[in-house]
Amino acid sequence: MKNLLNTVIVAAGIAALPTVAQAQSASGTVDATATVLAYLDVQNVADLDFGSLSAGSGATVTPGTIPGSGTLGVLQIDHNSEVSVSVALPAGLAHSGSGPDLPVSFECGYSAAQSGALDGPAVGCSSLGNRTTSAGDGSTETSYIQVGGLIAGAATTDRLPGTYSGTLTFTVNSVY
Amino acid sequence: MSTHRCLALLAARCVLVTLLLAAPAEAQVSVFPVQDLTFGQVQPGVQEDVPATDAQRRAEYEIRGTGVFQVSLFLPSQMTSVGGASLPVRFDSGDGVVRWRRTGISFAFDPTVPSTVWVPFWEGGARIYLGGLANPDATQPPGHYVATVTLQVVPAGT
Repeated sequence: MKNLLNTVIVAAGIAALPTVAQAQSASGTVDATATVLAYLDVQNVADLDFGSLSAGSGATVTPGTIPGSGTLGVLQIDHNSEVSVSVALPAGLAHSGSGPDLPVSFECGYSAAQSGALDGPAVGCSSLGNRTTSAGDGSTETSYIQVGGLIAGAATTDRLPGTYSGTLTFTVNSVY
Repeated sequence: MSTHRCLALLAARCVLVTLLLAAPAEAQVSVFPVQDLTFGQVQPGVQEDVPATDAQRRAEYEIRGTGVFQVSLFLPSQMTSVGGASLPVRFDSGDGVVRWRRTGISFAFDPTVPSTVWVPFWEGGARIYLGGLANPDATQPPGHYVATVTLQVVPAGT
């Protein structure tokens, strides 16, 4: 009986051995992030000047051409990414003293030089599209905005003599 | 000894043997991502270092489990922008820290090689912190760069 008892106990012990459990591994993922800032610098190279106008005479300064009279306005943009441009335009040129403003419209165009041919057509300055970089590798490039405009002859008829001026405000933003 | 007494004694011994031999041997661990490694805004040509002690910008993982583990980090060599540009990133031997959950005891480890980490049972878990170095080129194209960093935790001996 005692031997039978011991035999049964051993068998029960063997039967009770647990199977080996497998250990579990785990993983998790996060991101590494960085933002590289764009380089951007904007400078006024020249003001738009329609010149001296006789009463009843108009003036046109056309971007991409060499004006017969007057001078183009020029803005220089140093950038290493695409840029967007928006412009706040004056409704007219204000007299230095008093009197109504002188009506005027403006035209703008991009170029790779301060003067000469444009890269694309001249458009209303409010409709100027984005300017991209040619290399696209982060190196800095220089672009120009040539600014011209039109004063109609009728606008100078019965106009108070004097100097008329206004401010065009260009806002340039890097796009990336 | 009566038969009844023998059977009772037999049952008691079987239960005792079963209890002694059936202790569970399974090690379990979970990993939870807590925080990205954020270099932030970087200038072209200027290195940006995020130490593992930078609580705001370091990568963080939470380990839930105790025991001895092998910890491996799959580290990128670069981050990539949407436009396909690459920004080199580097990890050094001093960029890893383990912090036990309850006591807050911390010690460094080398994240560039598989490392053995012990998490005592009284700690319940630990945090893994990772720093790094972003190394933008002088003509690094502007943009937002991303890479993934994966932590793998394996119970030792498996």
